[in-house]
Amino acid sequence: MKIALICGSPKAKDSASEELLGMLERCFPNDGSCINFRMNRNELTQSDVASIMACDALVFAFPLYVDAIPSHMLRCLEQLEREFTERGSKDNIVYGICNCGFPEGRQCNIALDMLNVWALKSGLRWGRGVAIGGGGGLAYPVMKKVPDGAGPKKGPHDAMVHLAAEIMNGFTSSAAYKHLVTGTMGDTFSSRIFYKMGAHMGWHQMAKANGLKKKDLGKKL
Amino acid sequence: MKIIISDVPSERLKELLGEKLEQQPDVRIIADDGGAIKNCIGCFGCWVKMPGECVIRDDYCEMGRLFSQAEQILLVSRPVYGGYSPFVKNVLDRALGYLHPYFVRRKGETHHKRRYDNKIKLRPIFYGRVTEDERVIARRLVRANALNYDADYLEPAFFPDEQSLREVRL
Repeated sequence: MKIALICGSPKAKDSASEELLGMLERCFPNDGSCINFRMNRNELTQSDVASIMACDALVFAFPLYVDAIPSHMLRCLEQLEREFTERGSKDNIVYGICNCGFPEGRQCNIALDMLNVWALKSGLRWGRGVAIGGGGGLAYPVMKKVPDGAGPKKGPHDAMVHLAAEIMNGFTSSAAYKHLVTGTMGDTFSSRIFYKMGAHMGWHQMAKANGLKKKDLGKKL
Repeated sequence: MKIIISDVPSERLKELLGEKLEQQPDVRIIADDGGAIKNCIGCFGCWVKMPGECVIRDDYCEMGRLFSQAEQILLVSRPVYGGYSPFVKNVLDRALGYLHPYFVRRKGETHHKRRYDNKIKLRPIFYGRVTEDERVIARRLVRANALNYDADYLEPAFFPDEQSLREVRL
């Protein structure tokens, strides 16, 4: 079985999407043949298009931008839709992993539903969507030292184990509402407060590193 | 100010909207006229390096400031998987600086705090073929966008083709 792991982050490295695909890849048994692709520009090379189309399973991992799919990825999806519609096989199964910076993974549902629509318009089959809340933290250097399945990585790792099993079994679903929703933090009052404090501290540190003060973050132009 | 973000080129849009557009006292059109628009790269520079302004220097680096002057934003777009076309979405992606990086709670969800005081009304106008599933997604999307921006919204309008945009009321 050939599995395309397609990273839709615009970042060339150190993205949460890349981390999630790495976590997923480690969940496959050794005979799972994964090929990694980057979808960080407006167009895929013809070589990448051909390689993606030759895979049995297509797994897209991407960040949530303004409640939906980032624009560069939309352009690549339209390119792929044209190719699949013109000459593609119809047996490929599409899976999606969307992460957002908010603690509630459910905010990714619309973007995953859009990917579901893309799959159907391209004549492909829909497998599963996974929505990850608090995903941005997965790319922090300190998180790379955390083992899969431990601490904040437990929710995302459990979801990747589940997804890997479904991919290997060729799971398909017709209902977009069956996205698996999880996150790096629980969706409780205290975890949201903790998450918010951590995020605000992070913004303050980044602002300071750029020679700004806290109050500068709210600058009006 | 009324802002029209459109994947229909500006000359064509002016032709379609005609006098209705000319009668508008304060309107700014951001249309796909073939110039390059760079993608948001998720660097958060618009929050922690140059707050409110995109650090990618092209004609779209001041979208956040422009949004702060808007009372209504019309999103004229062909429907793409239930959402906006790449150009319209690209403009929205580049306007992240309109918001403040801090988190607030809004209607049971975490969102970003307002940077500005203006209340935008979002008005999506889709043209072209659209499935029922896409219509449902489009309705959910504008509600989510409005919550994200702490804005008001009008339900998406669907027109069968570009030509029928002549019927849009401004």
